[in-house]
Order: sequence, then structure tokens, then C-alpha cells
Amino acid sequence: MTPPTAAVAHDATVPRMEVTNLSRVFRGDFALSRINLDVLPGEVHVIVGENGSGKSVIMKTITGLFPPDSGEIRLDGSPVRFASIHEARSAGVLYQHQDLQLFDNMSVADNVCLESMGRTYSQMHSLMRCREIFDELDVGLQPSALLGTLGYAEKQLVAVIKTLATPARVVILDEPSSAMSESEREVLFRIVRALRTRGTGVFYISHRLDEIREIGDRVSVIHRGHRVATSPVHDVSRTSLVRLMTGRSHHHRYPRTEVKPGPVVLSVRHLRSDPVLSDVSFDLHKGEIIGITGLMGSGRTRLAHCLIGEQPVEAGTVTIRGRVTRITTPGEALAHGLVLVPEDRIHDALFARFDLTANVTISSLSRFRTRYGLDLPTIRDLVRDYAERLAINPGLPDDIIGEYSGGNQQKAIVARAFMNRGTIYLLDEPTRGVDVAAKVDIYNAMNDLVAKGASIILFSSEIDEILGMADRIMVLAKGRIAGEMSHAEATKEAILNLATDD
Amino acid sequence: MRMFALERIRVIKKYLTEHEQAEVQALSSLLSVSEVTVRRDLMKLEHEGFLTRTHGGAMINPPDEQAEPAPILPVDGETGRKLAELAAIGVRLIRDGDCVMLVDGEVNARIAERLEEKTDVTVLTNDVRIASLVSRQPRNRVVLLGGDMDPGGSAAYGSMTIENARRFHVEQLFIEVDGITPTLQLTVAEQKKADLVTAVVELAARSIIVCPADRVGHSAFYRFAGIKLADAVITNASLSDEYKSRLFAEDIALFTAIDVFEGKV
Repeated sequence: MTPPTAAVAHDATVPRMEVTNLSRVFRGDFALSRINLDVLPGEVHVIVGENGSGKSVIMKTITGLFPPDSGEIRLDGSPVRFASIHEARSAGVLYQHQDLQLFDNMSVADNVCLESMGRTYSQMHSLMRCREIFDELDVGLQPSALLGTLGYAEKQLVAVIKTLATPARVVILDEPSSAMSESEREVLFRIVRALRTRGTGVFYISHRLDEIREIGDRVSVIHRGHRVATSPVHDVSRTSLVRLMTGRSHHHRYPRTEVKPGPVVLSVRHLRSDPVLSDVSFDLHKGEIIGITGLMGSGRTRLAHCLIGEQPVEAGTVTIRGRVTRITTPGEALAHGLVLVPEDRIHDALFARFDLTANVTISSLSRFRTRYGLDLPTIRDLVRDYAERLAINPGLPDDIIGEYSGGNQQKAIVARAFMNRGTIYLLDEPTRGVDVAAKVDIYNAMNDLVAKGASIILFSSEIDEILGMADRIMVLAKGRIAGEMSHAEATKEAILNLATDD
Repeated sequence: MRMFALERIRVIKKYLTEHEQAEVQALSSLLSVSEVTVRRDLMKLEHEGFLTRTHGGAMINPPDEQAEPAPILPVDGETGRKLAELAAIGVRLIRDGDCVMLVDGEVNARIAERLEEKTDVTVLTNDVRIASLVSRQPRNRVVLLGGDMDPGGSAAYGSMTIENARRFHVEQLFIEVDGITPTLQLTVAEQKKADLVTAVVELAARSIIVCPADRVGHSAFYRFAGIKLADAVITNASLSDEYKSRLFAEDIALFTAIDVFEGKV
């Protein structure tokens, strides 16, 4: 196969990129400590690690999104320090994020070629160039199609193909295959091999352990901001990788209480939501916390959204307190006592420019209706009260919430959910991006909920959190519940094995 | 402070106990909530059999139709409320059939009182008051550890108590401390308590430290161990963010008495 773009000149013995002792302290309890990583020309270096172990953060630090506190980065032997992603890109270091940077309103071809063409762009040229690459790699996409009409996995492919259109020295792919099916992965691997042939160094972040041998040359394991191992892919077994990834378990620090479970309050049978969920069934009891985990793209959030009627369900039944219920809008969900704390606080929950009062009460206003309007004094008092009980800081009713820290914003969203006085709480990544103290408060608030008879489904990618807080744990993989275990029998290894099993 | 439904109900009960009957209007202005809310509360209390609703108000039912004896230990006042909060969390951690040790203390006494809700709990204690509270609970069992009674007459300490305790194994040990220092050392006010606690931690599968939030950051003179001894800490939600993160970082489960969900499902 001839490479679609001329290779960048290289000396095979000098690493394309060499990172030495890279360190950076972040807010909260996370830090990158003395990371050493390198990638040779034409090599695929796979990076694995649990969610939150720091894989993406390393890459963001290398490419200038976060300035490092110390450490050295060499590109083809000469030291570099990028001040921005843009600078990194100009130097030939391309970072393909998990959040795809593509334009829905442009054609596939333009998305692939626009950046590399710059001023030489013409629509015809772009289409031709794109078709050339697609033919070369046997990609079954239409270059002239509007990007917005593609599925998520196909968009992931486009994002990776984009890196082929530019003569890159180093390409960083961050979980490129999370939503891909087998056939799409075949194409992905062809693209990565093409990059390899060109002498590009590839960092390939992945959760799927089965991919490592197929595409990787070397593999490194990241755990809690440290690099704990690096070795050629053929020298490591799957089990030893899982062990390295999990490290020592930290689930004893979670304040879990045990509530005697009551009758089933929510029963889901054969729920299907194309193309993510194929067949999901489970029961939730009164006073119970179920933990649902799975890899990126396993459908955790999709499941939460299906339950509250935010996303369509193709088949299956949902029974709430013994009655088969069809929920088609979030408003109906609230009326049935189902309350969601969404994963993406900024986009899906917060009214950043409104005050605390509005943010906390917005979904419970009917509680304060009087003959003449809203009972504002009561509202303000109650908001103050909630702020005090949840230690929202400073917690004054008129505070503009956009100015709060992530932890306090999240606690305000939790307060909103509580004020609804629901019976079934769906918490989607409730502690993502919040400080440790706020985490502790949120866990204890969860205990308060179940002690008073409500039930919780905790959707989380943080396995320690799931192990620490959930009474029962379910692992989502390939659109179904791949396995279920009780708090007592669950281990990190068992969860990871179920989540990554193909 | 705005009251949650539970507190409102407490106030309504108190009012009715004193006045025997009440008008919706009067309660509404007393509690500064709408009449609709008061009516709802009254309906709830009628279900409980506490009162009978009348046109525009309610009448208390004769005492033999009600249940719920008044708590022996005071729950009123700021301090009483905070201690009761901690006890509520402690009780949540105890499962039916557990064998626990409650070392003498105010919160532990309140835990003992609330064990009423549990079944088949065996309590080991050096505190006479705790022993007496649990002994009244028909479904639970208590073992009082003998020894030298302290001058206050409430608890036993010393080598004899320790000797007695050594015959048992407990699942959970609740230690009420008088202070956790800024360097996270556990302290109590008296040497004899420090000695007892040091000896009994070996007997427990899980050690739980109970300490009101306003005593964290203070020393109570006798240090008996570092925080590593604790598997869990029970404190008030008002604990500062700094200590919350430090305890989490020490791998200790931190239970705070958050009471935020209004009422019960």
C-alpha cells in the first residue's frame, strides 16, 4: 500500500516524541507525576488505564492545553513546549480528542481536508483528495455526504481519517473506537496502519484490551497519574494488564450504609434503544443503590435518558411500582417520581446565568404555587435551608451560579433533584469534576435518600465509586447487562473483565 | 429557619398536645406555611392516628390511641439536635444481628436508645446508662462490662473492664472521642478512657470514630491513636471542606449527618 501522503522524513532510532518526567498538579487530589513516555517513528504505543487515571490529561498536557509544572518534551530529538493545541498542530502533533472536533454542517470531505488545505482549498480539490484516501483505505463513506447525517461511530472514523490528510509526526488518538462496531474498527485499524507506514508515531488510548495486540507495538499502563508499566504487547497477558490497571482498590473510603431493600419499585425488561442498547433488564428495590458501569460508549447515559423519556425506546417495558408505564418526556418522568441528575452539568442541568434560587427550585415550582403566583419568601427560605444542609458555599439565594466552583454547582443540582421529592433517582456521574469535599457530601446525601426510602441508580465510570457505594453492581457492555454482582462479591477485576470482554 | 415536613409535624404535635385542638389558620401562621400545607400535614397525622380532623382544624386523639413514647435523652436545643443527628447515622450502620460495642458517651447513648428499631443486636458497653437503655429493648441483648466505676457513676473503666471485654469479638466498635487534632490524632479527655479504647480496638473488625464537627481540629489531651485506627468517622455535615478531603484521602469512610431529603418516601 502506498501511503496517501508523503512520509515525514525520520531517523528510526530517534523517538518521534519523548516525554521525560512530565509533572503537573491539578485541583483536587489529582496529579501527573513524572510521566515518561516515548513513541518511535512508525510505532503504535497503546496507553491503557482506568477512567480518570490520567491518560487524556497526559495528552492534553503534552499538546499545550495544560502547561506542565516540570518535565521535558522532545519532538524528533529537539525540545519543544507547546503553548496551545494550535502550536502543537503546526509542529505536526495532532491530538484527536474524545469530543470530536467536526462540523455537522459541512461535508465529510471538507471535514477531512479543510484543515490541511488552508488557502489552497477548493470544493472539488477537497472531494478528490478525500475520495483518494477513502479508495486507498476502502472506507465505505460518501465524501460528499453531510457530516451531520452520520452516526457517532462514523464520525469517529472521519475524525481519525482527518489525521491522514496532514503530514503529522505524532498522532494521538483518544479512545477512537469507543462506539465502533467490528466493521468500523477494521477501517480504523487500516488507517492506523497507514499512519504507521508513513513513519508517524501514534499514541493510541484505548479501553478495549482486545485491541492492544491487534494494533499496538508497545503498551503502557497509567494508574492514578503514574505510569506503572511499559512493555512490548506480546510480553503481557490480559490478566496482568487488568491487574496493573486496577492497582490497589480504594473503595473503603466510601461512606456506604446498608438499607434493607424493600419491594421492587422499578422494573425494566428487554429495553432496546437503537443503536446503543439492545436488551437491558433489571429491577430496582426500594432503599437500594444500584451501580451501573461500563466503558465509554457502553450506553450508561443512553439508558438514563431512555428511562426519563429523553431518548426514544424501540422495545421493552418499564414498570414503576407495579404499573407498566410509558414515559415519553422528562416531565412525565418527574410526575412518576423519576429524577435525573444528568452527566453533563454545564449543558444539561445548569442555568449558569441564573441565581441559586432559580437553579434549585426550577423543577419544583409547583410546590410553591399560591393563589397569586409563587410564594417567594418560602422559596428563598427553603433555598437557604437546602444550601445550609448540603453545605453549598456561600449559598446565598441571589448568587449567580455560574460563578460557583464545580462542586458547589453540582450540589445545587443535587439540591434541585432532592427538592423534587422523587422516589427514584438516576444519578449520572454525580461526582465527576467536583472536589473531594463535595464528593463526600454527595455520597452522604445519597445515604440520606435511601435511608428515607428512595432508590438510586448510580451511573458511573469510576469503578471505585461503584464498588464503594452500590448495593448491587451491573456492568453494561455491548448494549446489554453483561453481568451483575452484589456489593460483597464485586471486585475491580471482575468488573473490568466484564466491561472489556468481547 | 424554614422547617421541613418532619419538623412541622413535630411542632403541630407539640401544639396539639398543649392545646388539644387547633385551627388550620392558626397553625398556618405559626408555621408560616400555606393552609394547604397544614391540611396535608394534618391528614398525615390523622393517618397516624394522632388526631381527628375537624372542619377548619383538628382535635388530638386520646393518649391511648397514640404510640411513640417521648425520648428519654433530650433531643432539644442545638447541641441535642447535633448529637441526635450523629446517633441517627450510627444506627444506620448497625445491622440486625450485629454484635457491637458502644464505649461510653453522649452520642453512643443516643445510638443505644434508637436500637429499639433493630432486632437481635448484641451490645457490649462499659456505660451503665447505655446498658440500661438497651436492656429495656425486648429484641436486643446487652452485656455490661464490669470494673471500677468512675466517680460520676456512669461508666466502668480499668483493668477489670478491659479483662472482661477481651472475652468478646465485636463486628463494630463505636468510639466517641472528645477531639481530633489538626494532625488527625484521636484524643479523649481522660486517661482511663484512652486506656480502655486502646485495649478494645483489637477486638473489633471495624472501628468507627464518633466526633461532633466542632470537636475536629481540637485536642482533648489524651492521645490514644492516629486516624489510621479508624475505618469510618461519623461527624456533622458542617465539617470543613479541608477535613472532609483529608479524611477521604486517608482512605476513611466519612459519614456526615446530612438531613436534606424532606420527609420520607
